[in-house]
Amino acid sequence: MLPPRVFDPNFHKLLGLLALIDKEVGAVVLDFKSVDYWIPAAVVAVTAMVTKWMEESRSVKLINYQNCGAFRYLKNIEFFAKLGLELPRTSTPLNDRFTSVEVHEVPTSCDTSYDQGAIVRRSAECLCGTSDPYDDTLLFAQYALGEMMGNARQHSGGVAFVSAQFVKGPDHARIGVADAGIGILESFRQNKPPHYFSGMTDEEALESAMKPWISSKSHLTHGPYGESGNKGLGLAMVLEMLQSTNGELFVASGNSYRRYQGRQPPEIGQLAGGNSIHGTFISIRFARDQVDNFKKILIDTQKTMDLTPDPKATNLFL
Amino acid sequence: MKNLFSMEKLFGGFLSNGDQANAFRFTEVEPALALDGEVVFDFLGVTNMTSSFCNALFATLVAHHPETFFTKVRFQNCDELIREFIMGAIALGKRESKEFA
Repeated sequence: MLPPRVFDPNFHKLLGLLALIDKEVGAVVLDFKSVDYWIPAAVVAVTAMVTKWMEESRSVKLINYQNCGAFRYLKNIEFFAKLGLELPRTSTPLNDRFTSVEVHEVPTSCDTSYDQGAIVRRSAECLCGTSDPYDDTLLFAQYALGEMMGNARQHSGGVAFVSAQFVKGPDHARIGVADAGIGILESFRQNKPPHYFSGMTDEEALESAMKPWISSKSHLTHGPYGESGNKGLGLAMVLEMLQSTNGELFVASGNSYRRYQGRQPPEIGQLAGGNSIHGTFISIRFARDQVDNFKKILIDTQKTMDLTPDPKATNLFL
Repeated sequence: MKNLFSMEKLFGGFLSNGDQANAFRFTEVEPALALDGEVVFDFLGVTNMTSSFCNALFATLVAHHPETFFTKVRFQNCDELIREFIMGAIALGKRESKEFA
């Protein structure tokens, strides 16, 4: 039985349950009877895990989904379609309190032809309710989506999914990105970046991954294109931007999770039952009124990364 | 001679994919930098990007060609936000070039 309501504080419990199912063998039956509201990260986490099980030829059956409280929402964001259930989409708006971005698949390879920018632009416009390319919330959402999707695409080795939602009442935008790939520790183990050490735990790998200048691939070559372009800054900059705007970031991989709320010390914990899950799962939340000047947020974030602009560089702009 | 890259035509209005940026640097920009003349990046129509894209392209270029970059590379039609991204990438590239030295 799937949990009725999943928000950031109890997301690790859902991940623990998915990890437990993943560990078992045989058919999977997911009972949606009680499902009432899930944050986008929970939706894409289940999508990623079900996709993984189906790829492993495990039988997956969804039951009681048509009567659950979240049915229309899940149907409208193409959750069921992504799992192979072709249900007619409702054309009427779901609820004027919500704006939802449908579940998108993110191919996780170094395919340079993949038009990540187009998906990000469409998702951010839907999330922010504007197509004004200079809207600060839109710019912030694009940036976060782009960095999170890029991270999943480059490091997971599996298929990733992204979805988002804006809730008018509390003025919260939420974005979730999930992949059922190799996870952060295994990515470090395979690529052996300088900060990796034998015996590293999931908790230590997660802590490292959120720091600037840490990447599992920056020391490697990028296929035929010479040096890797990874600098290990993408996710760290998203985290810093969220912390500076009183936002939240939840990240889980293996058996561990970290939950950052503004500038408070992160909550660090283990998934329910101490289970370990394949992949990486990220949820962010920000308030639109906190991101009213994206350029200033960017400048401040670059300063915290010690990226002080060189006055000589201003001469390069025509 | 001037080598002009229209970023919007190449990558759209939001420059997102760091792998694309790195491949572009290697296959298009590095060869252009080896030729005579300026290499100009035109950002007309580009409204946003990720640090991953900007750093993979420009920080790596600065790190590889710390002197040539400042004599030959130019940027045009950048709004203030795009400028800040590029200035940050140049700062990062200079830092990396010192580490390599």
